[in-house]
Amino acid sequence: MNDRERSARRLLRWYPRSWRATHEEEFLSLLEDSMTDRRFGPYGYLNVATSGVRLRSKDFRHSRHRLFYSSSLAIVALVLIVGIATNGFGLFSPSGPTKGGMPYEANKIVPYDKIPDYLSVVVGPGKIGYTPKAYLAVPDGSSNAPLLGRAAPVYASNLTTLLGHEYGGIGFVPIGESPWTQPCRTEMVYGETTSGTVSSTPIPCQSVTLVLPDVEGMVTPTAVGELSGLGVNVVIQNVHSSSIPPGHIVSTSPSGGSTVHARQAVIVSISVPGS
Amino acid sequence: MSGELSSLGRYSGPATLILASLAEGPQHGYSLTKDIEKFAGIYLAPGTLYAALDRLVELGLIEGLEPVGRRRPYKLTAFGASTLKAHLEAQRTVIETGLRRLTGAWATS
Repeated sequence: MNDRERSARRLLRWYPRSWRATHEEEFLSLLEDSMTDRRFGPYGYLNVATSGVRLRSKDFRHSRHRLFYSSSLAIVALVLIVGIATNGFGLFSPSGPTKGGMPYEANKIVPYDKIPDYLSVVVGPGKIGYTPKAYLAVPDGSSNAPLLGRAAPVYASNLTTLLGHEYGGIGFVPIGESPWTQPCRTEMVYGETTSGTVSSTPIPCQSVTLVLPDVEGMVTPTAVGELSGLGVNVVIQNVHSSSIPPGHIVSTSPSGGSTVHARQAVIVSISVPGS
Repeated sequence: MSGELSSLGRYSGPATLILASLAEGPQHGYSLTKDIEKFAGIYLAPGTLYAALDRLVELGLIEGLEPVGRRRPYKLTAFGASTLKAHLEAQRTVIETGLRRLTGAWATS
């Protein structure tokens, strides 16, 4: 079989089987003849392919399976539309955590009483107050460059994922990788103080153990600064408390005095107003 | 069957060319392409040609003969001949009217 014959046969595959059954030989000979022509060219290939496809679609419109396929297609389309419209697939979410499609906003100040039912995470030893603004090291190792303002609210539903992260609240794991398999690197956490100076702290690997200080009753920024400065992952959980004033630490888990591993997640419950 | 070539939609152009080419006698696909290219200056690519041939066979305007070697010649049917004639005469009215009117205000020389 020569080259021309081969490509003619290949082109013929665009046509439906039923058509080929009756036209195969004559059409092949026409194709082979036509291919000797300078005029055939890319246009000829395209022309044959589109004609074949057109015939297939005509066959399809008359086929018994039409109802089945077209209704399946309609369902798939519907699912896609609903998924995209409601952002159910999370396609348009930033790489960090979101809730209901709401992305976090860099440098946005969130007062405690406005923080909804998600966990808010503040990273860095700096005195960062109520502003979820921090410098994070990216766990993929690509860069230790500070990413300004990427500290984000992390939602309760993300907790399991979160606990596997190298730093609590850093919701950045390369897509497709499990946070549990991230190798440990001694990385830097950057923090910015209110005066604008940037400090950095090396975060030790899990093999390092440390004793958790007791931060109960402390004001949140101080407590978070102290804990994250030690190298534990700080996860902040909002709770209502009648005894602890808003903005102060109600409890930690594990509690103060426990021995923890560096980078272990420590859930810090802070008091927020309301019942 | 009305025998109206305009019912062929997108294929009415190629169909007219094919019918006109077959008016001289049976031809197979490739010689149709060559002949049409010669008398009309239009290249019908194989996909277009066969789509039109299929439609014309379906409408009974042409019919396929026994293959000669691998190539199957097609011939005009009596119905095809009368349809082509009617179509071309209708076209002639359009052409003649257009040309006549162009000699008025649009005369170039």
